[in-house]
Amino acid sequence: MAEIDGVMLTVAVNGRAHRLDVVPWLTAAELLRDVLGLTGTKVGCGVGECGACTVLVDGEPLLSCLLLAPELDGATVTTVEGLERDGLLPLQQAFLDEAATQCGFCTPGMIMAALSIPTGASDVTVREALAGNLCRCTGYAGVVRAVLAAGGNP
Amino acid sequence: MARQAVGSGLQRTDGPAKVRGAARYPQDLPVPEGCLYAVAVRAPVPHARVHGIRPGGALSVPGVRRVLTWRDVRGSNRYGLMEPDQPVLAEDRVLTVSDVVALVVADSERSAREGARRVRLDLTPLPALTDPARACEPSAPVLHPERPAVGPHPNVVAVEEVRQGDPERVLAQASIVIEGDYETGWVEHAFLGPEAGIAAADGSGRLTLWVATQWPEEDLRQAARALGEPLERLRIVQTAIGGAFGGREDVSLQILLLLAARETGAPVRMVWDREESIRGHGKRHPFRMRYRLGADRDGRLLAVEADLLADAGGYASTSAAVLANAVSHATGPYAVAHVLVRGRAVYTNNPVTCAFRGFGVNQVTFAMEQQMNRLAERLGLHPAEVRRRNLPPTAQEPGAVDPQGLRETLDRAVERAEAAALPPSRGPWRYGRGLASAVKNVGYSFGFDDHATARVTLTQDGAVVRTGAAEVGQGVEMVLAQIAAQTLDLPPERVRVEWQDTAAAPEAGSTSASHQTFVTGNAVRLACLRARRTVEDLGGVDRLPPGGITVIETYHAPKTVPLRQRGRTHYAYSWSTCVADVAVDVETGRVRVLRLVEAVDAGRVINPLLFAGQVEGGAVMAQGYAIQERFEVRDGVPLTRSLGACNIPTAVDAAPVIETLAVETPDPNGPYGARGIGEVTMLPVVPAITAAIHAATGAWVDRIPATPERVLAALESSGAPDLGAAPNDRPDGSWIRHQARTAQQEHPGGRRG
Repeated sequence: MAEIDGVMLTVAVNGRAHRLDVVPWLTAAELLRDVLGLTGTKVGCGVGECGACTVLVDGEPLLSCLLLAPELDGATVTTVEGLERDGLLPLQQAFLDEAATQCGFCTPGMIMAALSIPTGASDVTVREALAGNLCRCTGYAGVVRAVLAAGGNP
Repeated sequence: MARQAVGSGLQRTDGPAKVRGAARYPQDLPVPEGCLYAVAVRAPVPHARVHGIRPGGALSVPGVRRVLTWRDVRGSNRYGLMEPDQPVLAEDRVLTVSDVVALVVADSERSAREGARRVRLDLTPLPALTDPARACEPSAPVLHPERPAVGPHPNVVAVEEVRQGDPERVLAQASIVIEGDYETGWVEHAFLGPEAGIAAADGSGRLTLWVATQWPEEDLRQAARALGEPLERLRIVQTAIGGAFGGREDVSLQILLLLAARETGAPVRMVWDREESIRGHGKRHPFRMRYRLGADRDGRLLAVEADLLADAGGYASTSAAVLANAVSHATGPYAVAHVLVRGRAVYTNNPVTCAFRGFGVNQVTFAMEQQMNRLAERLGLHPAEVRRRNLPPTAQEPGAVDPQGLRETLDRAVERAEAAALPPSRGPWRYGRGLASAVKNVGYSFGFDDHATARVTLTQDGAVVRTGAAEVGQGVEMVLAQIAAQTLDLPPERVRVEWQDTAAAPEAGSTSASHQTFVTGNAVRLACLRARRTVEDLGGVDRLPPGGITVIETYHAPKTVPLRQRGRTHYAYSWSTCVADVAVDVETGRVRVLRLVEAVDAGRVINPLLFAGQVEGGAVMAQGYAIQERFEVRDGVPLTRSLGACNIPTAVDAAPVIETLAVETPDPNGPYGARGIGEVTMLPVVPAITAAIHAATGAWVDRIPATPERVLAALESSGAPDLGAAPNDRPDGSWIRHQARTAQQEHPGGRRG
């Protein structure tokens, strides 16, 4: 295997700036999990079908398994570990109140995707916004209740 | 005054870590210093004679340390939950595309994958045996020639028969006979967290495996035999578990990791991607089922005959138990005097089939409930009424199906469902409502000594409960904490449950068969009762010694017998009724599930939040099974290789309204009356949906999933869909199709009956 030049990138993750030298094929999910140790972001499929790896990139929910790490150069990334301010967000608390987490593997991605749902969204809007996030445990009922109860984007 | 821990909707204690992203699944564990990475080389074809497995160029890839083959396994090299017929690493043949032929261990994942591509296999492909019916023909090649035959053909994994009364004579004389042929397919568990793990030796030479599994002690027993290791040398530490549903009951990467760690002396890590997860673990059994049901003109069941054929795939796994469970549940919860049920599970070169939420009962419930709904329609009876007329007799033994409890699930589901009317037809959309009931055994049956052990340490600060019940998301950790708190009269926050480490927690049996709440719940209750009595003898909690007291108790569930013996085969049950409202687009065949109402008899609800979670999750998983999920296999090779292709329900697909109703008929042996409900929640939903499709369109779909193509084909064969009429616009709001209409549209059963 030939030596391949690394790529330098600067990225702010959960409020901390990082300057990193990475292999060009590294995905954003691998950067977060393997390089920065932020394993709250899950990889359920690796090909953009399950949503478990959803993170906020410059405020927008994106699938970190489909992004290459070098594409994050200059970006601000928020993962589930970066959400808490003074305790859990209302949305995180609502996931507990409504029993929206069972095995929990989809939960971080589900929460990151749900953060972009506008306040006052309808049941249908919530479901459409979460259609890219698969859950095999809850039947989505608790998840939708939690998002509706928390009132969407804070 | 005792505190009420049992019955409160307490939040799960593992919840905060999960919503923070702090819960660690196997792929999240810190990678130890010097950790190697293992990649499995799998069979390129589903059936072949193997002449040789050579490292080829793998060892010249920088970083590759070892290419392990069967010669390195050293023990029996065989595993399997019921019989060890599956090689850890292939020897002279492969029988499925999930067979592992070699394991490449390298310094990095990249090197291991590169090495895996260079392993050389010398093999002769053989024709794949993929039709279970053909696999029983005399000309079919024998897939496991060393195995003693148990059925008419050596490819038969298991054969079961239940005969009672004189079904042939009664069916010949019955005024109503309903016949049907039913078919169900493979299903992928599609738990969200793919398989992963790390194995490492500690200073004393013990091998520890960090992994997510349903039954760690059984994994270790199988690993010890396969690897030729003493059991005491092996240990599992469970991590958070990204779902299971039966798909983690069989060994996946456990033995491979322990083997690699032993052979290299280094920690070894393995992380399966989704494609390997789908290829590497089993599926739900496809069934072909032929049913004949005889009834009198009042709708009372007289006789049922059923013939079941299940595809076991290449290895036995739990197919014999799945088949026995299917046979023993083939007539549903009803009283039937004359019964003949025959079943076979058969080896093929298809993917291995294994445990999956419901364990053989899903398939027969679909078929039997279709039969019951056809009977209701034939007689113009409300679908709940035909079931009320066939309730089982009042229980003679504790734990049997309780007719009043079953009736209550029917009454409450119907009452709730009928509080809302179906919309009238609009454009191509027809609306229909369907009902089904189901029963499922709780725990391990057929003579298995189903038991669990709990160790409870009680100090002045609270209690620690140690028992190895795998928390797969269902919330057993919470259930056990609430049972302990109730029994010890402690606030639940002063009870901690530790289940992860086989070196610290005694065995709780498998997290499957809806076993944990009932069996391990009882073990915890017994241990806590003894601890409490000890405290009372001491004269109060403040008299406890500094380290507290520790008691250990094992609970053995009531005895059962194998299916062919006289006696009880199951020691406890749960049951449920579901009403489904659907919309069917008669132009495209598309089905939307609008609303599911499900009443489940939990005996006693330990935690209402967890109860609702099981019902809602089970209902939507069943919805996927009923109308949309796919797992396609051609010539033994899965064509479905991604989560997207499995087409499991999304938040948009899932029924937007799911109403869960708890019925609480105590089980006399259950802890605080509770029974397990993890599986029964799924069972009635599928036939309720297909009954609703029929109510909407007049078409019976007898093959699930009821995909648009199958719905259209069923519409066509039931007579052209009447696009002008609106069959559900009935003045009485009834959800039974008009008898007159039924008479014109004779379904297959009608013609032959």
